[in-house]
Amino acid sequence: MIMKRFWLISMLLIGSQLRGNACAHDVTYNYYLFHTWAEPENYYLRAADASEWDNHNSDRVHQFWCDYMGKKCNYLYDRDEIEERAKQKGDKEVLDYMKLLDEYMAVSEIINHESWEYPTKEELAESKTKCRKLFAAAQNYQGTRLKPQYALLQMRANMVMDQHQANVEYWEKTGSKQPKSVFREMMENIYAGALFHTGQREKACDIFARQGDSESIQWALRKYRNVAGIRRIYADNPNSHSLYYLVDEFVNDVQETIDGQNIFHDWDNESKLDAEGLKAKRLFFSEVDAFIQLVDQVVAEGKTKDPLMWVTARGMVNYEVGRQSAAQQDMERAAKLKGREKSQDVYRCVNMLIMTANPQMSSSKMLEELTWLRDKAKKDIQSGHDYDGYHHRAIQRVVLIGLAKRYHDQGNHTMENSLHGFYQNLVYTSERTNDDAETSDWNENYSGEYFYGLDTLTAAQLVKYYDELLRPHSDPLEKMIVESVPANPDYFNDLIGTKYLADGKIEQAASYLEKVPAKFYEGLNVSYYLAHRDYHKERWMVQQRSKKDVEGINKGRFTQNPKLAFCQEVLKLQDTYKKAKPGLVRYQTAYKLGTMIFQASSAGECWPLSRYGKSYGTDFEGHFDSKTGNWSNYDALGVMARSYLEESAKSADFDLRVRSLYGLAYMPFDNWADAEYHWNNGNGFYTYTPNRNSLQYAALKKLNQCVKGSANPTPAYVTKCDVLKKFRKYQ
Amino acid sequence: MRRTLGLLILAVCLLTGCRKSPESTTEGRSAYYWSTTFQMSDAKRQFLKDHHVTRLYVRYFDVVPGEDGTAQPNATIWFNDSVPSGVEVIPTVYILNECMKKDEGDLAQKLVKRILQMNETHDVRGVKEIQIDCDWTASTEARFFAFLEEVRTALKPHNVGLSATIRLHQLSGKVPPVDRGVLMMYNTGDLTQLDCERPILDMNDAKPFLPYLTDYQLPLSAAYPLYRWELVFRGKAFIGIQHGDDLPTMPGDSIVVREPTLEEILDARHQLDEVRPGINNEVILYELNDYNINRFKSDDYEKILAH
Repeated sequence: MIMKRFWLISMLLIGSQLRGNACAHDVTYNYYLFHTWAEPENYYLRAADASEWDNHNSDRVHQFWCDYMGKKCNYLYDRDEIEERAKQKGDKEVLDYMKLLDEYMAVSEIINHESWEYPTKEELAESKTKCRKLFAAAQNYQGTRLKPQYALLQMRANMVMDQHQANVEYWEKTGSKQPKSVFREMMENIYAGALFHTGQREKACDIFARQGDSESIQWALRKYRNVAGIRRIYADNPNSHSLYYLVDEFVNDVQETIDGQNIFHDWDNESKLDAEGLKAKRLFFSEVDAFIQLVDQVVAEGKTKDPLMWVTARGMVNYEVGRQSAAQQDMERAAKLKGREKSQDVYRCVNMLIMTANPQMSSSKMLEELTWLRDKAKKDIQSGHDYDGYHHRAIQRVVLIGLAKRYHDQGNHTMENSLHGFYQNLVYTSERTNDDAETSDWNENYSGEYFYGLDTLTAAQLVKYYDELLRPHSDPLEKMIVESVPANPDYFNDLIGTKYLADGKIEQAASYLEKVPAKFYEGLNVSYYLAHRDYHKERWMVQQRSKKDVEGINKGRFTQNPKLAFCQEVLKLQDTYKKAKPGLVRYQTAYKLGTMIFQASSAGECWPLSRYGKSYGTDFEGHFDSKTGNWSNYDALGVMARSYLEESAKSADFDLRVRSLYGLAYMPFDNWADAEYHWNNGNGFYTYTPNRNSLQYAALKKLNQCVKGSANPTPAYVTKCDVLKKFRKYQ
Repeated sequence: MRRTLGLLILAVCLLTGCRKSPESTTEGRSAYYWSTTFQMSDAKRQFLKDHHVTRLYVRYFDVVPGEDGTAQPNATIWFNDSVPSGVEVIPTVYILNECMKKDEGDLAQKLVKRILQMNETHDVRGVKEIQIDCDWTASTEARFFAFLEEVRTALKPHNVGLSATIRLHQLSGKVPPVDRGVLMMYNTGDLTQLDCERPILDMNDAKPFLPYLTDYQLPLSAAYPLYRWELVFRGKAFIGIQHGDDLPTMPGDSIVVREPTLEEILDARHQLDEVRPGINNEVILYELNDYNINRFKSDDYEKILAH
């Protein structure tokens, strides 16, 4: 998602750059809600980036050639391939056209003097001659099949020769009579450009606006994207299509400014604003008020055919600046006004957003509207426009910002989480009609904002959330949302059990995990690791390597629930440990438990027992220690594993003691020293500054003392240990 | 006798302090041409002739970051007319400082090649120098200077010199590696501030920089402004620059005209002369267009252009 730089921000000299990124951790869902300017067939372009119109046309021209080739093209057509096909067919007409098209491309490249290669005098003269010939050849085309293409070629030749008036005349007399096609649209776009160059800006902009050519209209109306500009265009023509574009821009700029302020809270406290900030804030609100006045004037004058659009815009602006009751009144007023189909569409979306801020929101009305929007959004997703689709973007704002805030403010976190589940389910169920989704080998239930939200809950909160999902809801809106969230018991039992497991609450973990069938784990993205890594192996003695491409579903097979098996074994060993008196059995059991539990921790190789994913390069994840109120580098399982190894390190058995101390020294939760890289005379080397308070330092010290102070031969794995060697050097 | 003359020169030097700022080797009357179309109206031709303006610094193109972020030519001038005979052209390229924020590889070579090709394509003959205009800052200085070195190297085989524009704030920094500079005596204030009444030329704003001028180790000429701005303010907030009627306004907006008076221009000339004698050996008008050449009486232009 790219948010364009906001004109008011630059105009008002605030200097902050407000940009959002859907891939960032904090997803803002700040797509523009107010989009009325492009025609329905170009509906998705309204929210698109500037170059979308070009891409849109390229796609359609591409389709023309795909049809000519007689095949389904999934890639951009290859010019030579088309030529080859035309030769095979003996299609002289197409071959001639392609030749002329090549010439046009070459000529326009030369005459376009904004490249580093500036043309020579001869090239320039030759290009002009070629251009005239090209025009003549296009003019003399006698066929019918490629008439639109040749007509377009004529206009292109004129355009390159700066013959704008000729293009105006050609379109009005001839071009406009062509049947509907992408080529006719491209001609009309050139005509609009010609109008602009011959001083007919308004007419030109109306065409750009209607076609959804945002790049051209952005440039042509760059000085009109403010209330003064809207006023002037309105005064010239109260029904100018450019007004849709300009009002959209204004409203969305207000939205973007407020979104920015909501993020940075720049304007909350005027005493903290400098003179420029204060000036910016005041100018912003004076623009907002001027816009509201203008809307009132427009509606009162009765010259507009679309008062609905104007009053909806008023409502959206009022909503954005926090005047909720004025916004609601605007929407009530707008409901009685006439407007284009598209304005009605936008009205419904804006009205929904405003409803979410109304304390008296009618749940049944919202349900009705949300059902409508959900169906529309579904169509967007299924049509392949996906995130470009207006309704898809609108539902994000209404649901994930409007309704989510409402429930958040009410302290209803179940509903707040459910909204993400509702949205995610909408996207996934819609996408399942796509080929990609059907062949996906990735389980999406463990990614996305909904899952990340669930993953931040504690086990107890998850239990509560799941209970809430299953509870009957009397409120019709809540009922619909909750029922649309998948409440697969296996999914939730595993989620809750895993949370308990990660917290080291093995018994509670087992009570949930025992309800999950073994087969379920084949559908996890970490199924390979669960199936192929052995938690009995000491991490500090051996490394279990994996094949490549092991992530995704169905990479491991299970005859028993792997997490439950782990829990049961741990519980059994814990029982033995508890019952054993100090002595070899107790210490050996402690060592086994330390080994297994460490492997299940975030730093272990069997981390999928306690989580669903891990970032590359992250050795371990810390956890918040509620007792100390500090973040610890050790996660709960790490802490448990450490305490078991500390116990086994008490053993009189030299081998077990050394192994235990070696394991403790291995644990990478805190570093015994800070390493610094140096470069000298072509040689690189490290120096180490010890962290003498670290647990790893203490463990290395004990290990060192143990092996040095013993008559027993030091095991090879200790003598070969690089870290211990460094420790001895730098301690 | 020869020894006596030498002693006399030495004595004069000692008496005057012989403070050596490099004098401009360029003399004459010049003007900038800063449009996207080179079109010499009769009025412009007559102005050049009447006031013996024999050198035009013609903006050939700008260099700006393209869509892919690499430096691209933009707003290239189109020659609809020939250069009047007897007028020397100094092709000038404005480079957006942004382009100097990262390494642009062979930008210098591409730029020189393009300028030379434009000269050839449009029969611009006798080019002895090109000029680079860039509002470089401390953070881009090193890269910009290295770029200038490369341009100079690329121009050498063609016997073409290199000059650069110098903004007042740049006088306190290092001297760019060029043959000479043109001091821009304009844009001295902040046009966005309503209470800045002379944003184009105010010697009070320029004064703090003048001491650097004395010892600035680069031959310099000076360029003086003839242009005007119509600025739109809403309350105290700056809205934009009005060109004709292109900027829509709101009721209550004020349109403020800013333009230097003849006296202000002459005062600037005089003050520069005081601190840097010889800087006005070449006077350059910014810029040649039909409005600017009709602002003053003919004699007044003579006063500005006089050596």
